[in-house]
Order: sequence, then C-alpha cells, then structure tokens
Amino acid sequence: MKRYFGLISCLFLLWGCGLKSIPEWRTASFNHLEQYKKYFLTGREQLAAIHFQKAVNELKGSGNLSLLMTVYLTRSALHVAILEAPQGEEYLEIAKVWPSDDHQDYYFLLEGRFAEIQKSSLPTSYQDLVTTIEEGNAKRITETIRNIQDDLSRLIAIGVVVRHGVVNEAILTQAVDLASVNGWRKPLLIYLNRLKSFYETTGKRDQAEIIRLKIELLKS
Amino acid sequence: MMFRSLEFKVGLFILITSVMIAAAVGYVAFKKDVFSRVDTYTLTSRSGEELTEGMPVLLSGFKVGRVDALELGSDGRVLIKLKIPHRYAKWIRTDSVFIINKPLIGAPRIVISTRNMSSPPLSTDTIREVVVANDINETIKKLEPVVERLNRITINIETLTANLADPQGNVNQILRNTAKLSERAARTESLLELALADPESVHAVQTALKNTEDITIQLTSILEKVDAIAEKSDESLYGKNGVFPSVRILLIDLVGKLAKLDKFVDHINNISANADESTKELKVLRYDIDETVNSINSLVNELNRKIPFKKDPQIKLP
Repeated sequence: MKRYFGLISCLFLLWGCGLKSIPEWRTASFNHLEQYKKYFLTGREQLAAIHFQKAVNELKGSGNLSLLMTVYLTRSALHVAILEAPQGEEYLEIAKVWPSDDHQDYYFLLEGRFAEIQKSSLPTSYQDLVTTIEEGNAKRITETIRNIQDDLSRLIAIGVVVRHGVVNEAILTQAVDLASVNGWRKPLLIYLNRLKSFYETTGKRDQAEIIRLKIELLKS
Repeated sequence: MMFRSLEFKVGLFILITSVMIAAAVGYVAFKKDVFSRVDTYTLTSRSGEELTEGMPVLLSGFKVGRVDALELGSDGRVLIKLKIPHRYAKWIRTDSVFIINKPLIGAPRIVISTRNMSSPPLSTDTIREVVVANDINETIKKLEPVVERLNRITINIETLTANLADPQGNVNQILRNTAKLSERAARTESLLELALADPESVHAVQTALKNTEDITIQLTSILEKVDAIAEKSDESLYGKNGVFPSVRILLIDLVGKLAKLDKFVDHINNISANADESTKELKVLRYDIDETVNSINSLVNELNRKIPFKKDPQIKLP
C-alpha cells in the first residue's frame, strides 16, 4: 500500500509540474472583458470603458488579432443587446487585414444581414435563430430564443430580433425578466421603455401606465 | 626750639591725617557692613548656568547681600552660598522663596520673596531650593523650535513657489501625479477594483481593504492558516516548490506593504501639522499605493497562474 501511495504521489507531482502555467495576458484580458460586460450591463459606463480598454491593451500586447476581433465584437454584441447599433469600426479594420469567417458571420448576425450568414460558422446558440428568423415565424423565434442557454447570448438574440423588427409582448417580457434576474439595470430600463411603447401602440394604456410607474420607481 | 616746634607740628599733622584716613576707612567699612555680623545662607540649584559669584541678592528691590561662592555638592547639584548681613535676617523666614531672576535686559539676580512675616526665621543651616524664573528668555526658548519650524516651512514654501514656475519641478510633478490618482479614484470605486479583474477576488479583498489595518490582520490570519496547512499537508502541493509556499511568500510581502501603507495614511492625517514633510510624504505615499496595488495585482495573477486546477480562461463570442 505504501508503494502505491508513493507512486500516486509521484504521478500527482509530475502532473502538477507538467501543467503549463497560463500566460498573464490571457488571464488579465479575460478578467477585464468579464468586468467590462458586468459594468456595461449594470450601467457603469466609465468603469466599463476602462476595463474594455485594458482588455484591448492586454490583447494588443499579445498580438493575437483573432481574440482582439472577438473583444470588439463582444462590445458590438452588447450594444445590440441594448438595442443600439453595433459599433464595428475597429473590428472591420482588423478584418481587412486578418479575415475570419467565424467573426464575419457573427458580425453579419449583429448587423441583421442574415442572408449573408453561413450558419455553420456561427456559435451554436445562434444557428437555429437565423433559421427561424428567415422563416419569419414570431412564435418560433420566441421559442428559439427561450432555448438559448446562456443569458447574455439570449439577450443579444433578443436585441438582434427586436432590431430586425420582430417585436411582441413575449419577447420584450422575456428581455425584461432576463435583465431583472441578472441585475442588468441598463437593458432592464431600455426594454421596459420598449414594452411601455409597445403597450401604448397596441392600446393597452393601463399596462403602459403600470410600466411607466415602474420605470419611474426604478429611476428614482 | 623753633626746629622742635616744627617737628611737633608735622608729627601732629601726620597723626591727625592718619587718624582721619583710618576713621574714613573705618566709616566706609562700617557702612559697608564689614564689621557687622553676616549670615551665610545656602541655596541649591540644578544648574549653575548664568550664576556668578558676586551676583546681587535683592529683597523688596533693595540689595541685601550677594552670592559669595558657588560649589558643586556631593549629589551633583550646585550649592549657592549667600552672604546677607544679620540685620536683614528678620525678613528671611522659613516660607521665604529664593528666586533666580534672569531678566531679558540686565544681569541675573537672586530675589528673596517673603509672604508671611510671622513664620519662624530661616536657619542658616537649612538648604533651600532656588526657583528659576526666566521671564521672556524662557518663552523665547520655548518658541525657538517653533521659529525654527516656521523658518523651515518658509524655506519649503519658497522652494515650492520656485518649483511652481518650473514645469518639470517637483510641485508640478506632484500635481500631475495627484491628478492621475484622483482621476483613477474617481473612475473606480477603489484602486483594488482597477487592479483586480477577478470578481471574486475583488469582492473579497475590496471588503477587507476598507481599512488597511483590517486587511493586515486578515492577511496575517490567512498566512497563519497557510502555515498550519503546510505543516500537515502533502509535499507535492505544499512542499518547497509547491503552490502554497509561493502564495505564502506573496502574502508576507503584501502584509509588509500594507503595514507601511497604514503608517503613511496616518502620516497624511498629520500633513497639516507637518507642512515641511508633506511633499516628501505625498510622493512616498503615491509610490507606496502604486506598489501595493501592483503587488495585489501580481498576487492574483500569480495565484491564477500557479494553481493548476483552474481552467484556462477562453475569450469567446457571447
């Protein structure tokens, strides 16, 4: 038994020594990007901007253009998630020098250029979404979005479809609930406003008033 | 006959003159209390500074005696022998106070002050402690360090104003550094928040760093725990080249730095009282804060890289 114990200990030691330590820039850029997402969605834009810049600087230090494009597209995706236009200038500049299908299709998704997308290049969570958007069935779109596992991906998907003109109570309510559960103040207020507008245009004035009061309470 | 008469006259003249001179000398001596009984009183003092033999002794503003001798006693104290004519002894009582008065202008003197004339006469065998009253000199002595500091502050202010004109001067550098620091502080909730990107680490350390003393205590306790674990545990993980000893070294470094930071925070509170030290303190504080933040940052990065169980963080499209 003692012999086995010694052998296991040696193997454990070799395994520990054999593992590569993670480069500092990788950990730092990952952490800064995560912080950026958190602060952006909670409405602390100054902090978000600082962390975004730090993540970019770390990746520029590593010279990894692929990851740099990912970071810029992440920012574009977050803007889409709050129903703003994707700011893709920096991504496009890099894409000219370092073209990548995966990044390009994701960018087309954010831009709403669904016809140009090669679905196989997209992250799996969005592949079905493109199909259902092409079909144009709002109910199916809502269901597809509901099936996306990652909360942030789901909010981005909602942003994509709402910007594409697919607006209904179920999708907007889903976005409000999602933002509420995660404590994402910025998208919460934006989707509440959109929901209020939706109720007003569809003649549901009582519900619009309730949402208005809710927004006022949250802003105060 | 005539010659004899002349001798007699001269002799008489010399005699009368001598008698008169002797009488005059005697009179002066009498008036100067040469023949009167003189009492010797002994005083003691911690220091013989500014005491001289012949120093006058005054009673109610009149000179009543003098310092006859200064000696060093067996206990290292200065013994002051006063010669005072006996006729003044009635005013020198047991409750009399002997004061060495060192006025701003004029020679120092010993002043006898008696409040209660009904108290018993002071025995010449009694040794009394002398009181030093230094008047304005005392005040000036007390003010000397203050004046010295004021002088240093003035020199510093002159240096600062001279530096203000120089874009590369210390003041401009400090202002730039302070502006950077304030900017960073304004943009972040804390320096830690800026330094640490790992949310869990931020939360843990941020809570602790509200007070540097707290974090020093906390880190010390972590250190103790790591030490305790190291004694019991597996050599491969906690051995000489294992993960935890590295963490321990980093923590020791961090505790030391935070202790220094705590000290400098105290100094900052005293800056108004130490104007001459402020420029130096601010510089050191700034470097120390930067160093501490960098240490914490590198600690987290070291932990992230050294702990092999953590997954390689992958940046992916959301």
